[in-house]
Amino acid sequence: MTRYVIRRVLWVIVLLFGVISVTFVIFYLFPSGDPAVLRAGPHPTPQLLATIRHRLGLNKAWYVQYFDYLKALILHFDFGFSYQTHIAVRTQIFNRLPATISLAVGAAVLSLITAITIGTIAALRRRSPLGRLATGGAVVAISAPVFWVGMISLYLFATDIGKLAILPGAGSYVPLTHNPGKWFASLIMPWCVLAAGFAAASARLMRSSLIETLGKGYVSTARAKGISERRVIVRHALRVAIAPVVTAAGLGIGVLLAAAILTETAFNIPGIGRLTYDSIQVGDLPTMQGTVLLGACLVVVAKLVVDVVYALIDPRARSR
Amino acid sequence: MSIGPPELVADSETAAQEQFDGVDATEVGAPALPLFGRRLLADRAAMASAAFVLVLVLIAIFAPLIVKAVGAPGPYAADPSARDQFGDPTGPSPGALWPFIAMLAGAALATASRFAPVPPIKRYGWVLISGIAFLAGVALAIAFWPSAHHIFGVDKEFRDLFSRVLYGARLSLEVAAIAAAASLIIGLTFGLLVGYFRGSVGVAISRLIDALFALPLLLLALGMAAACKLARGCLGGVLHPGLAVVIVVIALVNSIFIARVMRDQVLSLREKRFVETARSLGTSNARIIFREILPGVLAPIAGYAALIIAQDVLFIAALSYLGIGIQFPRASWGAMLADANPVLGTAWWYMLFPGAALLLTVLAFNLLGDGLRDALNPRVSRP
Repeated sequence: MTRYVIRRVLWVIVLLFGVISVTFVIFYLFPSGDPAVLRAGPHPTPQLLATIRHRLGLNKAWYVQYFDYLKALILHFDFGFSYQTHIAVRTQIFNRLPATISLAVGAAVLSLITAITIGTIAALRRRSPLGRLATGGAVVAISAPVFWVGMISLYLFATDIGKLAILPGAGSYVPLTHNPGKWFASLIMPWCVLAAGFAAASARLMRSSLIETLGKGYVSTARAKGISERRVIVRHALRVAIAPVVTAAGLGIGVLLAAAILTETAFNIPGIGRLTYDSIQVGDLPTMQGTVLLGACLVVVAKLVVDVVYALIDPRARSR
Repeated sequence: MSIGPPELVADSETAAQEQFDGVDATEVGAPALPLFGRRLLADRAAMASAAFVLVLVLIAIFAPLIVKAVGAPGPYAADPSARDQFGDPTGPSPGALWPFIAMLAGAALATASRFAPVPPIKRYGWVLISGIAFLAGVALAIAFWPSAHHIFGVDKEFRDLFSRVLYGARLSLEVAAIAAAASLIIGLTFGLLVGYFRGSVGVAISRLIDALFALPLLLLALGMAAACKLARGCLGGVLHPGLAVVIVVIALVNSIFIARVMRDQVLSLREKRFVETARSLGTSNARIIFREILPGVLAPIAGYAALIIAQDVLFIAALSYLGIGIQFPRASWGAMLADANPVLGTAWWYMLFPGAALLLTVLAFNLLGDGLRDALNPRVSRP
């Protein structure tokens, strides 16, 4: 197990290095404009430009710049300053992290629970109308754009504009530490909207995985022993069938975060996603860069956690 | 991902498949396609989606003609007379939506009839119901549309929403098709070469593909599009914000995905007995790749292509929704939805139609992709 963890951690370090390098290429080498002008905001003074050039070392060769960029990031955790608010990007991101984590973790838990339930029903009642409804509904949920589903649900249920005003609408987010009740209520709709697509994708996987497992020899053996069907399914089939679903969910964390950006935008939740959206609208390159970089690193680390937890549960995963 | 030696594969079906593969490849290949076709034809959802995709492509190609035929003013012209008593943009003209409601109700009824307890209705009801619904839709359209000013209403700039939704289909399919084609060519080439030639360079590129695949590609693609937009151009001015960037970004992400899938397919095919036989007969590598391996991977890639187009259409819309996709004057569904966000409570039509068009398009490609994949995979049990 220790060897497995060390191997995974080393691989994650390689990946983090990759993320940082790709971000450098995207934000420093890829754009054709003068990086100093891009970071100076809409009204650059020559003085400000000179300061930025000096601080970023823009007149040095690209590999020196890359080295400086790495040093600032790794040693000082320095993402630069937003020219819109003149606050360090790092501070801005950390202020908004709780909202995004609330949204993403809640949606992930909700989607896994829903997926396992619906996928199991769809697998056990394959030919019944209920099973077919679940299978068909899952394809629709996968195909629906998350921001549009958000808009529809706001139109239907939000207290300010909804036809059936029962839930707090856009812009109603309160931090958990201020008011847990309101925090929960304001996140019900975003959680459901963000979870729907993922629940559908996982439910489809759960269905096919369970169908495959039920055809295996050890399930027949368990049935032949004469234990109840319920026990066969819960004890012998479900436990095995869930494994690929959890693996796929771990791989889908990146997509979840990308979808969270869209959900936060639709529901006006002050998280990293909304920060990304706002920085795009005002052309705030340093903030945009920081959110993409941090988001990508978070995803890589989250995948590591999922992998290690999975290896703890299932020893077979360690040999892979 | 590991490929075990065939003799250890305990699963009887796989073992049977292995023996099957030992027979001359041409004998195996010949009857496989008709079976695939029969399975696909039997999949009603896939066939309905294929028909919808065909209609969608026709709509995209003939959008200007359709707009003219229904007397709509086109996607860019503002119609300042389309105001209600408060001076706000008007919604759909009265009666203009009946054709769509009739067809939707028909589709719902046809689906429901599959569960009817009466056997003849269960078997043939859907043909009758969808036929009637289609004719009713056409009749209602002829009755209501000539007198309708704006079938879907107008947007906040008083432009005709119906025309804009149709032109949006044009744009989505155009971008998705170009990006999918580019990524198929790149991904297929890399996948084939890296999967077949397992020298040190091949293995190194293979590892690189794995590493890239492990990165959060969607986020990085989003960052790339945003950087290009904020910098007003990239790659030394070669790429300008808008269409080109969206296509390049999507093609990059997709080709990594396709290359990986292809490589895994090729890795398992190259160990098969018919490839081994060809090799022992002294067949050249090029001939083995093109005559033995390529036919085997082309079929699964058709299913992937449909699923990838579905993902692309969604991603194009998401980029436009965030304001880093297609640039302003062109009509894109994502940008229309972004504009609809602030006026959600009042102008429901502005949100409903672009979103519904997006959902139906993605759904059709997803169902088609599922159908193709299931038809090709004999081990998937039919519901």
